Amino acid sequence: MKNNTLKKLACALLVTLPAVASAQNYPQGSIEFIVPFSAGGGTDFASRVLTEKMAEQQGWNFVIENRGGAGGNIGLAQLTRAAKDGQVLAMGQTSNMAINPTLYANIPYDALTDFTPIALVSSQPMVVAVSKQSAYDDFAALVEAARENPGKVSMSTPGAGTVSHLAMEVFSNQADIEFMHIPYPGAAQAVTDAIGGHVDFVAASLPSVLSHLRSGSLKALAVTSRERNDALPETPSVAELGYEGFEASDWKAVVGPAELPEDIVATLNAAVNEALQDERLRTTIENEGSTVEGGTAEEFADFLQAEHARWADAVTASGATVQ
Amino acid sequence: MDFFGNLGLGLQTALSLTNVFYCFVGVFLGTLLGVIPGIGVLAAISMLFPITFHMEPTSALIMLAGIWYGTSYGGSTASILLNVPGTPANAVVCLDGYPMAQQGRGAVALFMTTVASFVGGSIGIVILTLFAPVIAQYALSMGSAEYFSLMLLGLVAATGIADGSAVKGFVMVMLGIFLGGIGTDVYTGTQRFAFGIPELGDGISLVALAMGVFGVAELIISVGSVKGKRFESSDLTLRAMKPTRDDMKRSWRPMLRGSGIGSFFGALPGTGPSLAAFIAYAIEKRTARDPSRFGKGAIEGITAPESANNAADQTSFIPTLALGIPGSPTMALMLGALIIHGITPGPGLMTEQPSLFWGLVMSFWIGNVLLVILNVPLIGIWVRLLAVPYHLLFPAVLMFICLGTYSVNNSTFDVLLVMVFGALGVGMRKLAFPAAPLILGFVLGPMMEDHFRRAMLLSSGEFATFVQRPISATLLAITAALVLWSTLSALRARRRSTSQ
Amino acid sequence: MLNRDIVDIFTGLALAVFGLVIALYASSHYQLGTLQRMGPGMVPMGIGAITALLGALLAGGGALRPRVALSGIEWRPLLAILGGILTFAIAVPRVGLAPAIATMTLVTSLADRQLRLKTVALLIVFLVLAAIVIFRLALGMNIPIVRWAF
Repeated sequence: MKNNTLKKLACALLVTLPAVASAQNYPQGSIEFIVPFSAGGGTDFASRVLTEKMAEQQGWNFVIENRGGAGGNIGLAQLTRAAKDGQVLAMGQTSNMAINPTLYANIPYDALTDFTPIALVSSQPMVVAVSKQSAYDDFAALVEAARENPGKVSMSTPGAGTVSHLAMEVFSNQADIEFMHIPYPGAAQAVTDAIGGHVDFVAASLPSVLSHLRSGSLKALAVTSRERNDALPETPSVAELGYEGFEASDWKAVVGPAELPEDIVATLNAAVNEALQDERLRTTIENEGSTVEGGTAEEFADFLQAEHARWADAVTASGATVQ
Repeated sequence: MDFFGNLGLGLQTALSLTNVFYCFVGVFLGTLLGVIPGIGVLAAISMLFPITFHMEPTSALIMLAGIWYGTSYGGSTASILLNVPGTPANAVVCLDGYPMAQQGRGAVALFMTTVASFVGGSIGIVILTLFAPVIAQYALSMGSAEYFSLMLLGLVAATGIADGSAVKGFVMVMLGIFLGGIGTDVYTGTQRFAFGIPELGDGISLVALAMGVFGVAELIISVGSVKGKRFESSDLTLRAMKPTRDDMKRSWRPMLRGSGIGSFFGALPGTGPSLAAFIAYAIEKRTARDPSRFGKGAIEGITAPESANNAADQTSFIPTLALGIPGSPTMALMLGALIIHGITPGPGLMTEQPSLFWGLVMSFWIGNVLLVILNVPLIGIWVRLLAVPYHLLFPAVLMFICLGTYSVNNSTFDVLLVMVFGALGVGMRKLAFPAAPLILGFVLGPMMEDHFRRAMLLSSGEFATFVQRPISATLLAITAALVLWSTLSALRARRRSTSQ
Repeated sequence: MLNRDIVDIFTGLALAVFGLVIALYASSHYQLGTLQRMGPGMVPMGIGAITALLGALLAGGGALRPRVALSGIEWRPLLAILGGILTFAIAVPRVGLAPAIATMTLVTSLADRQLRLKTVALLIVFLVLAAIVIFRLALGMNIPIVRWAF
């Protein structure tokens, strides 16, 4: 084990040169994988574990390129300029494929026509959580408080226009209540101020709060996925609390440039699904608080259509725009 | 388990052959990253991140942490020898480190920054070991009102960080705040001064700004003025490394103060080593009997900030380990390394994973000792860089700045920003506008705006929130006292000069 | 007027104009809000106004001081180094690491007349090797050494 680890370390440090192309026609040399965010975030993490497993199983070579900026729009825009041979792929997700197209005044691509959907990878629900000292014991109490004092119950989110913020906007509309929205530059600070009791509750993705739920410094009141989450079996979903049909999740998916040949899409989809079957990869993703997805390219294409339409409504209803 | 039992367990874990090896890999890479201007620790740690999936979590964390605090040791090297900061946290070391090198005391400066780094690191570790849970709880009670008052105190304390015209210093602070505010507004999503350029929507990177106004500007000025041999070869011997008794006497208090300031800022999520180094420098200059020595090679001007940024590196593990709250993206990545292995960071970590927690803490000692062993002999090699003719050196330094900046986000935009800020830096130097206040305004301005707006939102528009909350009120009182004291001493100095 | 500190007068006036432009742009393009509920335009407007004031102070101070000599800018190093960075930024995503370093070094070497072409060639070889060893091998970064992407 130790020896193996050392070897891998040595390999990763020394052998980053492009591998020789495999026997098949695809791929021709290494595949460039665009991560439209800076290194170190959730999308970067998912991309690295996925491509590492695919490289191991298929003998392919991936070159990760972090191309962050403008809420993930810049990296995806770069994909639209790539050749249509599947040598350049990217990790799209809820914000840059479903939310930003409506949120941003100018966006350099059409999320529905400029990309070829390949496979859904994973998703994570949003969690509504309060500090352990909070007087709110359940979700109903929080909603009731907001109904009695409109705009007084404070909610921290990772920022204006994030999935967490918009999900709560949709919820507020549906429940006909109003929270006091306190946006933060990122999930870490939003969560910290909720633990410290400076805001009444936090709405953030499950991975960003999971360790605090486990350690008991935060209490989860509800999750936004349709069903309960395996990591939080005790926490009800918003939908089951009487808000029928309510669902919000932050998903990640592999996409290629438009008009990718069908056989390449099939090869890639099979490779992603094979990687997602791997036990170790599944635990890695689940430990983080995400749900492993997978499925066919067609299923993802339909899902993308639906999500695009749903979030467009949410953004319009919230009145948020980025000029 | 008792405290000493824990320390023993930690030492045992940290001293295993594998862990010492990974600790060495970490601090070696860290030193390398620190010496190279431009490239950041975050980029390097995320490259190595996938490797940690296959490692024992303790070893993985020991290695990543080694990279993190190792950069601060290496970061001052280029500041001192070339006037080009290795990382933004070392930019302030340029102010006195480079004059020391010009006076032929480059080796002394490198040696003293290593000593200061070790002292700062050690004090940081002691504080981390003894008080982590208490400090972590205290940090949680700091809300936006407290942060705003603290930043205001920092800004007031740090005015006068540079020499020359006070008006020019203020102009630079304002320009820094303006540049820091470019990008997407957290509250409304409005893109401020982005002019439709998507890259500007994420704001200007501190690395690009620091590399431009300090690094590139320095290269441009020096190529035009440095001719021929710059240093006597006797300056480069190992004997030249030995600090004088005066150096030591002047340094130990600033090192302790710097370590204290660094430990304080490190433990607060969201602040960090850069801010700590700037404040530590400013406080030394303010409290010095003869502030005019600063900027001309004062030893306190390098030892205080270097102790501060190293202490901050260590205490930034306090919120990370004791609460599971990452104070910076780099710390978030380290937490990620734990979570992948199914370990929950948070208050339970110390009791549930004592060998991991104490092993990591003890590895910091080993890492700091390794860094001293690694850095002291390296001084001899680094100072020889000065013997390399400048016309061969500057293209190399420029290449590292460009490539380092580019590698962070594969963004040519950031490289172009370095170019623009390089031109700005040359203009500033020619017109005697100081660069340090620009960086300070850039770091502090957006945080102050953010916390002020949030405090106002949370208090429903009551300004009283800043004085009703005890911590915030105390900080504001100190700020007011500082302003009063500076005004009085300035008036007294003026009266004395007119009466003469 | 010409025997006053003309440099401070001009930079001061330039800063005053710059500050006013920022303040006006911020107040006309972004919501100002109130101090209690600040909009995105409030801070930039304040900063612009203060900068304008400080610029005026600087110009005023300059008018009271006698003229000081200003060392001239050496244009050759300035243009060569800024040009070097520009060529690097243009070249690296299109032709890869090695050609980008080569062109950058060639352009920057114009900054110093002492550099001969042979020395520059040796320097390029050294820098390309150093970049490959440090960035690709030691740090495992994925910047292609040579590529063709237009």
